Amino acid sequence: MSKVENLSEIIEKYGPHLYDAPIDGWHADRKIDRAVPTHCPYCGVQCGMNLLVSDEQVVGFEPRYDFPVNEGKLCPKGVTAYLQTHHPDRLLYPLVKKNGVFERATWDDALDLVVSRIKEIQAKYGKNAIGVYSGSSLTTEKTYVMGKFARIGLGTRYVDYNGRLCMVSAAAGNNKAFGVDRVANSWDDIPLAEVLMIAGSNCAETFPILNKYLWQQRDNGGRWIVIDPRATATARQGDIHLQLKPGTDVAVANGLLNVIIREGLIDEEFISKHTNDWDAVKAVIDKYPPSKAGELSGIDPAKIEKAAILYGQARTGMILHARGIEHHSNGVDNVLSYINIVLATGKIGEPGRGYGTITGQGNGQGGREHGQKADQLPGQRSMTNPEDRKYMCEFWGLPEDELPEAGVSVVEMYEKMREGEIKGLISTCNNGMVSLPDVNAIRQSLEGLEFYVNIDFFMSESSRFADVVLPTTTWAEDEGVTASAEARVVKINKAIDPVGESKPDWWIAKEIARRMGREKYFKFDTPREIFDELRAASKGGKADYYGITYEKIDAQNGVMWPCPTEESKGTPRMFEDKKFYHPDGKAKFFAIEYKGPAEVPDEEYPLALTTGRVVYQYLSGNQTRRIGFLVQQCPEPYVEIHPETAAKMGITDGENVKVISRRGEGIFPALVVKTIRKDTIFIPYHWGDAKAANLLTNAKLDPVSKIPEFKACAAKIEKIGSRELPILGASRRGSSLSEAQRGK
Amino acid sequence: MEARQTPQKLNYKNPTIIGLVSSIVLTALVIIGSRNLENFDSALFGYTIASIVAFGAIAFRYAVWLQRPATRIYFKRGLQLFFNRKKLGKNAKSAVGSIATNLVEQRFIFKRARQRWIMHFFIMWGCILAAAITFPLVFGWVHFTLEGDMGYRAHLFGFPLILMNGRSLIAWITFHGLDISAVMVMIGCAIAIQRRLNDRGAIALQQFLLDFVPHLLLIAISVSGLMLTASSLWFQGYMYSFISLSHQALVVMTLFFLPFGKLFHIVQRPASVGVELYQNRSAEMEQAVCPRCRSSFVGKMWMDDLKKLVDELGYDYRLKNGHTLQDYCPRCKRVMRGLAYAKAPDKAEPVFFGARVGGPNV
Amino acid sequence: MQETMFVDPQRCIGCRSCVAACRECSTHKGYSMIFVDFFDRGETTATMPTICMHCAEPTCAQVCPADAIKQNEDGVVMTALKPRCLDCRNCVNACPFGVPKYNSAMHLQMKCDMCYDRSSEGLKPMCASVCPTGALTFGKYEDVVPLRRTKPVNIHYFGNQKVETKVYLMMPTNHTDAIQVDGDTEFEEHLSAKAGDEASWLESEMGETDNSNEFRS
Repeated sequence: MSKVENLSEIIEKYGPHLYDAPIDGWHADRKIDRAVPTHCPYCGVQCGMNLLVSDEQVVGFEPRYDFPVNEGKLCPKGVTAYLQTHHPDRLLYPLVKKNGVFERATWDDALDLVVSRIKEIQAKYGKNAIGVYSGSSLTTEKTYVMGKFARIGLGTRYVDYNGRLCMVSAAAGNNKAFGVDRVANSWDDIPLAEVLMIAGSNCAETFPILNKYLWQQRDNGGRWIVIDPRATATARQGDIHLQLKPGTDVAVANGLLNVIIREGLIDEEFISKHTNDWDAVKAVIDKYPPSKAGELSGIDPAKIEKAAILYGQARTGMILHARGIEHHSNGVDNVLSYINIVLATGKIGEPGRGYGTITGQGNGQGGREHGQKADQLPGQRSMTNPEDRKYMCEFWGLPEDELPEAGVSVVEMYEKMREGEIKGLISTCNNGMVSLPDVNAIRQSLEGLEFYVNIDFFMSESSRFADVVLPTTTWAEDEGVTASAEARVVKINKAIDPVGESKPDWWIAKEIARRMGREKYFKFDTPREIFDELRAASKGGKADYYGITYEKIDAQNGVMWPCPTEESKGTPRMFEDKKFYHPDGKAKFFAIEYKGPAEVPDEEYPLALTTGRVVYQYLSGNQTRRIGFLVQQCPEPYVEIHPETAAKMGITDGENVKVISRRGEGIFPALVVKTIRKDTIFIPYHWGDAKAANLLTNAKLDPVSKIPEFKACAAKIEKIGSRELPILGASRRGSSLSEAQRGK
Repeated sequence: MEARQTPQKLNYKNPTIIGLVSSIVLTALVIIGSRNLENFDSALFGYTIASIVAFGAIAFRYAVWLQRPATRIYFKRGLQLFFNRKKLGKNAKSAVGSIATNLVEQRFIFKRARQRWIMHFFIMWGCILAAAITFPLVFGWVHFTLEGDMGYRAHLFGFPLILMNGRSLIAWITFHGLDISAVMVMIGCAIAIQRRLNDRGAIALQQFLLDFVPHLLLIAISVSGLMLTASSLWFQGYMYSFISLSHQALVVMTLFFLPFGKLFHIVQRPASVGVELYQNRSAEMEQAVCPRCRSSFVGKMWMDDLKKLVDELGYDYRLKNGHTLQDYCPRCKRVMRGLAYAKAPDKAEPVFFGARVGGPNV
Repeated sequence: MQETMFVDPQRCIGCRSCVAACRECSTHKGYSMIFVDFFDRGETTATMPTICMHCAEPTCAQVCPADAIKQNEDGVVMTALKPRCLDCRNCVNACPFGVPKYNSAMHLQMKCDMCYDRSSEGLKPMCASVCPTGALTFGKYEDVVPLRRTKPVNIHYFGNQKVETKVYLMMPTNHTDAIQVDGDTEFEEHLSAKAGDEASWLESEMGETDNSNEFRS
């Protein structure tokens, strides 16, 4: 069913095409009708910005100097974000695939088709034959609706979201150690920390605006310890760079803690009063002296000692980590091993002393709180806890036997599609054909579906497989809240009405549910009504939104949850009373043994391949690979190789090479740089089709968080002797544009 | 914005002579062209004097301008290149092409913005039309005589030209040429002023004297000119002499404004033909190669001229390695400055190698 | 004291946010006047942000045959006057900082005017507004400098030529009052395999302009 035919035709019609100007070109004489304060649609920093509206069209932005997080600052994605809304590639009306060709349909026809096919499949194979795959770039209102829609509207247990590819390891680790899943400090604490330990995060490229806080810390005399296999811009600006082998984070963290214990830099009072299971940890850590840690991770042990002493001796300090340690088959272990350091030194719950994951997606925090995660109900309630289930069923007025069981993670959902258990899929706000590991397997999953509905505002690599593509709105055309990486709930405001016939995701879900005969559970007409429902639903849960209102968000420039009452101003810093969210109020140590990545380099595949991001592209690139400026800065993926490794193979800079793993292969231009380890190569992953780094990555999952191992697998490189420079070509070099044109 | 003129040693003697000579030559041409003032209309005496003075002033200003070392080098080299015997034909051809695209078609203004091009089209051709009609009339180079009932005969420098029927379309256009030009100029100026009131970039940069006064003067001339027509056609010459005097005052003011403000580009712009010729020839010749990245980025002749010019202006950009800073392409200049920054003496710690504690990375 | 720009290359993360945002200013809408260049991508991720330094005695203005480049009362060196600029590109190649760009089709040189449309209304220029790390900062000397551990320097020596600028470069050392630019050195231990070779393709294939500062398209 779901095959992509006429690929070139689809690309010609729906892009990606490059577009690089406001709707009717660059000119400075527009009358600006209003500036709408809102936030950037991209990463978890959720920078404030004003969208300029002229004649009911978004025509530009103006820095929002008064928003305290970014004070007007924006990264290049944020600066060009407004170019999405009127992009010529926008999907403006529903599309139904007939004989392999997308044809325009009315909303009624498209939705009736969707509903009749869902009913047909569910009648034939059971309710669980339909899966729902949602995303974390949606507003929290929409994520709440998507979870409810899957479980009540469709009655399927299979719902999950793309945060599964993002920070679930951190979420799981936080829940295990602290009993709650939230960054422990607001970013205002960063400048107060004497030492920052940044593990697995190139925040210079992935969270550029966070660097405002980092440099404030540095201006205050602070130091950075950066743990990363690449000498990234962040590592370059840091003080100590621990350039580890991909996937050896546990060894490094255990080695650091070993030195900290040896030097007597632990906080014994904190450990005995506020934590459990320290002795078990101590026993394991004894096995990881710096020499051992250095041997496992490929770092000079002296550097590990220096870093440990720097962090241990500092009066204040924070540990921040991101996907680099989380995207592993032992991602939760990695997270817990760093939390062990935090707890052992007692650096938590005070100004400048803290810990946090830097959540990736715009609403990565909010998107995992209100019930679109396979195992969770709104307010971070558990799908498996009978009390939580009962509470939600009562709240929704749903007979308890109608609430399905907990589902499975998205990678497992795609496995179930290949196995034939899931026959139909509704996906919104994601692009698995780029972002899921082992793309060849993902393609098989989609091709095996009987029916696939994709909701998006651009035709993504995944939408091409769909039977029905429903056009949704960009962030500028609807309102709602998101929770940033510091758990600050902020409000996205509506700048203009939806473009074309596009509709917000919550409207689409509601309409399908209505046609499925579940109207009584979806009685809302505005995001505000959804928000009021969800904050009531979250009441008493861990992620308690009850006291948050749109008005309070506006008045306070965001509210950090938990905010249980209307009087509460929110909670910028967690654990100030040293009370954790486990029943006994104590935090928990976990003794972590080093296991290493699931696939390590061997004779056949001698290099460690790690993947990551560039500052110019966002996630699967469906939004950013269409913006001229961003594409010009980074037109296509490349493979970073150390010059010594390259020299051994006779590879020169700019030469195309074939990168092969056990799962697939791809051709990428070589970027020969000293900023990467000799035994490691790196490919940014934002591209699809033949340029997808995820053709190579390993789909091995973390046993707890079910996050795939994007950050380490074994690979080899083959020289193919082709040298084509990206887009512009060698002929252009040196000659000016007018001369080049004259030459033609 | 003119507040800080770059200091330069200027010699005013030669420009003064050139200005005076220009005025004298024009005076002579007026006398000869009007057959010893026989065809000269004494009512236009004021205009004539103003034109002669303005002409001298423009010549003076042009001569001062040519004293700029940069201008002089381009001017000299441009002439030298143009009159290269082997390439004269080719040069003439390319100059004609440049004139067509740059001065007539003005494609570069179109590239700046379509609206700007329309605006400039109306103002420029309106002014050229008006000038083409008025100056020959004022100088007595053209005059009309009545032949028979409705026959008008035009004379150029006293030589009789065609005879036309006063009721014909061609005669109507001829006699209303100034009215047409006035309407064109007004349309153009309206567009320009509209832009200047709405474009935030223009609003930020514009100055009243430089950017509004020329438009206001042109509009005032056009309006008063049209009023003259209206007065004589429909109001039996009501207030004719007052309007005429105002018109004359406005025109004289504008003529005196020519050498100074924005309008000087009228005489300056044709130099772009020479610049284009220079650039094209230079692109065909040997190219200068950036000593650092080895890319050829400009013509060698141009680079040598530029280095000579920079030297002449009193700068000393010579480097220890024997090159001059200008030898490097713009990108390498930026990177070299960055490298100098990275190598700043006695800096506390290595700035760009990451690990500040413990030296370069593993 | 007047507000001016402070450039601190050490803080630059190479995101080119400034380059994108520059296009939003009304005086040069759609055209970016800023450069962010890799020092040597083979060696390091370090980048050099370059804006117009606004020389006290601008070479670009002196070499202009059309007398099209003017300074305003605050010492800001403006873009070439549109009616005058002849597209001769003298300024582009004379500028010691490699700043002015040109657009031949438009017969126009363009350069940073410190977002005159914004700064004249009390707003920060776009680049300094968006710069995540403060590598580009706009403000008064007495407001900016006390917050930093770097030393503001506004004197460059290019060979023997002293150039004083309105814009400050923040030096990572206290031991100098000027920055000396002399010679075409390479990044400390330039990749031996690449010595004499061209720069990394990443350096030359990106950006709005080519080596000669002409706008691409």
